[in-house]
Order: sequence, then C-alpha cells, then structure tokens
Amino acid sequence: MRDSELHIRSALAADADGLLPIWQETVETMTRLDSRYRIAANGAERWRASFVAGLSDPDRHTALILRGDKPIGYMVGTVQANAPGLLPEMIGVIVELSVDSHGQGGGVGTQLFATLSDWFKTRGVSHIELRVPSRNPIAQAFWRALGATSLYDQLWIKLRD
Amino acid sequence: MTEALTDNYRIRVAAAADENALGTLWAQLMNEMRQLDPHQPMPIANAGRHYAGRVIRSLNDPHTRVFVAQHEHAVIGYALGALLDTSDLFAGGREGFIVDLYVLPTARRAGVGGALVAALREWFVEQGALQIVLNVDSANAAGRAFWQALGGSEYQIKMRIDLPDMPRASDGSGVGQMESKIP
Repeated sequence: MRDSELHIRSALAADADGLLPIWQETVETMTRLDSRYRIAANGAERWRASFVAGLSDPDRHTALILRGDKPIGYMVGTVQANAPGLLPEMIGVIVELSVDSHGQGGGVGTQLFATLSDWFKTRGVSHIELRVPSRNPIAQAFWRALGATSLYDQLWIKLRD
Repeated sequence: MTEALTDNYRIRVAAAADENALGTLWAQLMNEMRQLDPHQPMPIANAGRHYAGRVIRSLNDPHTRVFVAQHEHAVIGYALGALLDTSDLFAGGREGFIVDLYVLPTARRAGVGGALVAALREWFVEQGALQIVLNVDSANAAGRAFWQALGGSEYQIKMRIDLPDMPRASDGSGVGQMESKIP
C-alpha cells in the first residue's frame, strides 16, 4: 500500500493509542475556540476507556481512516431511540469526528461520513443529527456542505465558576 | 425553593394532579413548534398523555425537576429541567439542561416564563450545576431573544442530515429532544 493512499476500516481497540493524539488535538482546538469547553484532568484516560467500550456496542460504529498505515481520523455514530412519542422511532447521531489537522481538507471527513451513512442505512435510519460548536465556522461549513441544516441553537447560561 | 407567590400566579413544584394539564400544554408546545418549523416532529396519537405520564413518573427522580405556573386553578405554564453529568468528558461536572419551557399564549409577557426559569435556575444551583444549556428552535427568533435576555449565549448548533435513498418518516420529521419554547 502506498504511503499516500487513504483507506477506511472499522476501528479496533488497538487503534485507541494511535487516535488519542488526534482526539487531544481536536478537543484542544475546541477549547481554544471556546473556553466554555474544558477538558477534564483525566479526560484522555476517560476518552480512551469510552472509545474502547464503545467498540463492543452493537448500536455504535466507529470508522477509522488511515493514510498508508497511519490513522489520521475517525468518526463515531450511534443509533438512538428518538424521544418517546416522536417519529421516527430511531435516529442516527454523529457523536465524534476527529481528523488530524494535517489531513484536513482532503476529503477525509467526507469519506468517513459516507462510511457512517452506509452503516446508518443498514440500520434503517432515515436521518442523522449532530452538534457543532457555534464558534467553529469551519466545522459548520463542513457539515452544511454535506447537506446538514440547523434544527436548534443550543444556548449556554453561566451559573457560577 | 418550592413556592414563589406573585400577584397573579404562583410557581410550584409539579404534582401528580398536574398530569392532564402537562399533557395539554405539551401538545400545544408541539403544535406551535410545528407551525414555526414544518420539520419539527409530528407527535403520535396520544403523545401528550404519554409525555405527561413520563413527566409524572419522573417527579421522584432526583435528577429531574418540574415546575408549574398556576393561575387560580389553572396551570398556565411549566418548565422541565434535568441535571446532566458530563464530567466523563469535560471539566466542570454537572450542568442543568432545560428540556421544555412553555407558557400559554394568553399568559405571556407577564413574567411567567422568567419566573419558571428562575425556579429551575435556583434548583440547578442547589444541585451544584455550573451552567445551564438549552435548545431553541433555529426558526424561533422570539424564543432566542427571550433566552438571550436571560444571559443565554450561543454554544452549539444541532444539525440534521436526511439520508438519501431512505424513506423519510411519514411526517417528514424527527428530532431527538424536546424543545424549549418561547414563554
């Protein structure tokens, strides 16, 4: 396989350590753009545990993209019950997307989304929901280019430090 | 805080006897949301009753609190809040989430919505929450103005993507959470 070649596969527990720096970079960017996001002291440890535990959840899928043998991003999706009483009964939710900053802009996120979309379709999901930080216009533009439209604005009210 | 009396209405913690009123108010909330945004979900038959039953069952849940606004013998609005623990991801621990807020159109502009939010806010503080988050429909300009006047600032955008080649729900809708509504 050529070093520059991109390929996608389902993530494995063994991938967690290789993805940790990518997660770290993503959340550090989030906190830089908006200080209301704060990383827990043991956030990396918790992310790793959550990532590995999620791999055995049948309602969750984690797609990993590699350039050559090097992981450069991942996307996590889940199938969740809609709120009681509302249709459709099941919806897809994109929980996480992280791409190595050096790998951004080359269609990496789009390929990950295409993979997750195929998985959602096998689960009978007709629409997907996701959240994007208000102060991250690049992420918003990425999702809008994929057809996303705004449903809600989530607002934040500070109570105390 | 359990009760706050004002001139024309009082705010109190919801009780089992409020079940029918909560179901009716929620149905009106859903109706108004769909008028604002046709992509909002279509409730199934008897959804108001299901919703109210669920709310009443949560009255003893220590992570949930429901306040109602009562005018004479009628419930004219309500607020449903939940405590969320996000400490597995972010520093800061607990946050309060306002799941639903609704006030009858005829009771608006009298401070009822603000009083309901104040009651929830006080409860969230007592429970150790550091911030409140809530969703407001992107098409609801008046609702955004209400929340911004209470100190709300934009935090995240919830987006939706319809998957091609998949039949949409019969109502063409579906969202995952209840929504805060202009009071």
